[in-house]
Amino acid sequence: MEEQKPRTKWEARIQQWKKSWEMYKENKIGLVGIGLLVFFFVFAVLGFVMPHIDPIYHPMTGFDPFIVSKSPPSITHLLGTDFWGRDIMSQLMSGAQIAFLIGLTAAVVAVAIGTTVGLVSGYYGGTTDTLLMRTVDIVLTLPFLPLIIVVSAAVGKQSIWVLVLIIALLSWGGISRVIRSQTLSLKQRPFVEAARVAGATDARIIFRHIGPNVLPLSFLYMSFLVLGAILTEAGVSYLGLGDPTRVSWGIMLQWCRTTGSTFTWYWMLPPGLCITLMTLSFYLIGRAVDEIVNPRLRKR
Amino acid sequence: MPLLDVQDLTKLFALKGGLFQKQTNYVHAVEDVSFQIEKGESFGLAGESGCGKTTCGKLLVRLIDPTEGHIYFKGEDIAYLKGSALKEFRKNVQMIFQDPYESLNPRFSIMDTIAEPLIIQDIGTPEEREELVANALKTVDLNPPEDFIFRFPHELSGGQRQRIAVARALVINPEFIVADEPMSMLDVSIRAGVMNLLLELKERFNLTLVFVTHDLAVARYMCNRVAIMYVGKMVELAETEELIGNPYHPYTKALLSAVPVPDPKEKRERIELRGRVPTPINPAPGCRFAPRCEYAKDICAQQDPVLTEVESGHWIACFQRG
Ligand SMILES: Nc1ncnc2c1ncn2[C@@H]1O[C@H](COP(=O)(O)OP(=O)(O)O)[C@@H](O)[C@H]1O
Ligand code: SF4
Ligand SMILES: [Mg+2]
Repeated sequence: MEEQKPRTKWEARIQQWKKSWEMYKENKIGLVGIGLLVFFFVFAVLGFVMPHIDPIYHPMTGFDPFIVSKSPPSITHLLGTDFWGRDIMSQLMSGAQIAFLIGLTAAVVAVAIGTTVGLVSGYYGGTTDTLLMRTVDIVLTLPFLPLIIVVSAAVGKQSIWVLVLIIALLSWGGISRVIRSQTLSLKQRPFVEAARVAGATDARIIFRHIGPNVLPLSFLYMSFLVLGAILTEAGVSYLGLGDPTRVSWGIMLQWCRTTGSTFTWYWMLPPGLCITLMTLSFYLIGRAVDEIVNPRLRKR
Repeated sequence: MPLLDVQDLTKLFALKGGLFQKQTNYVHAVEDVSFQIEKGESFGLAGESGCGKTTCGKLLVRLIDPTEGHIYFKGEDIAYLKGSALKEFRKNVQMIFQDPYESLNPRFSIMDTIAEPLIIQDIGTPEEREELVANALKTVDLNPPEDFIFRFPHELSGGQRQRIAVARALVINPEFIVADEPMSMLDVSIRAGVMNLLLELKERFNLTLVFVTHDLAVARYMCNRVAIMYVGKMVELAETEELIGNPYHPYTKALLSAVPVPDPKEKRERIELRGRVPTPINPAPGCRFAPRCEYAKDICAQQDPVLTEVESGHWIACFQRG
């Protein structure tokens, strides 16, 4: 197939994206990951629609007037209701929203910090590098749960934003090390020297020349960070340290546990399954991206 | 006034010692090198790998900072410029690197790559820059420019990439260009094309070219004058034909006898070099070539021979003098 020659900047960009997608498509595992992700996305969007169809499908306040306790799957409640007669399916949808919200924001913040620190540390070396890497050592040893408790106490409430903030602040360390070592080798490359000969400033070299070359790696780590953030939120909420004003999968599990319903399969199983599948989806995407980013693994 | 007047240029690289090493070791990559380059000239820096050619070239474009010495560009010492003055100087110089697979940013389209010096030096509007980039592509025979302008380096061949690198070097209209073995990584079949392109552009834009090469046959084709370097020192400097036809320095003689430079006049006797190239790390005093030189005298191991003019335009650094 003769390839079209791009005539504008945008055509060129779209062509690059298409090529990456072609490469990604080769990977069946990656497609499963994308499939799952799309499913959860639609699921999360539906969550906004449901309460408008009938208020009993509100995840938090949708008490079904005809049901006063947990009930197994039925026609009105496809996955049954919880202890207070609220629709489990609607709660799962809300959980998907929270998972996207927490996973993506925490990961984006962590990746932004980690990538910047790695770039600056690797590029400048010397004292800057030492200071930043010591900071990373400290960040990597900070204990998670005590920090959540302390910060929640300081803020005066258990909030999802406290969670996002702490997850982000505790998880940029690893990625900054990876980006740093990548930067160490990239800054030696002649294309960086070419930029310097032309008079590029350090900032321009870091963010315009080296930055885009580490971005695929950042993106790869981002998918694993999303995964980690979702699991962390679930764990923390299960322990009762989550945000009680929003219905997340972890909160659902906690309600399930505190009402002594651990063996109520239609209540316990779905959030657990959702957590597993959504993290699996990001894991599979990460693996597929890994094969593109690290060409050694690439099939010929 | 020469375009470039280089005085006692020296670059030492400090080698980080181990934990218990008190003394730092220095690589004497370039030491006490002096020469002048006239406008419009093509000046060759030749010698074996590791003799300091690339370092010397990078010093000239201020890619690395000199340890000592001076570089007068049109009479102004640019060796220690900083900040905006250095950026201003950079409008005059460009460098073409050895490996076109490494010297182009893989994430930059050809447009981004060639426009980058213009953007950095704040030349033109985006539309004007696109025009300048297209012209630069035409200049290096990448026609039509639309076929290349929005492609990425990995879609191009080695020869095309090196042409892109040449276009990037030309786009800001520099006065002089350092080309660091720009052919050595290319397929033999396309080397001549790139060489001829460089020569043609040099004439067309009245460029001054500093051409780094380890290949004397290439130097002969490309350069008006050639300087031979040995372990950080300049040992001989002359018009290319003069240097190849009438070398004085024992090292140059050995080098010429070892490489097949076709000589119409006579068949050269082959001189075997004894021993190996010494390391440039903390080198011993005296002539760097002394351990291998068949003419070495006592003085050679004690004093540094200074580059002196033995005939009009022919300089050598040797106590033996021909
Ligand atoms: N950044 C550096 N740090 C330490 N040593 C270097 C560095 N760059 C070059 N050298 C050393 O300086 C000497 C000259 O190198 P170079 O100028 O690249 O030689 P050439 O281009 O003639 O092959 C070599 O011994 C090389 O190992
Ligand atoms: S100075 Fe002495 S050792 Fe060096 S090249 Fe000349 S004769 Fe040989
Ligand atoms: Mg070199």
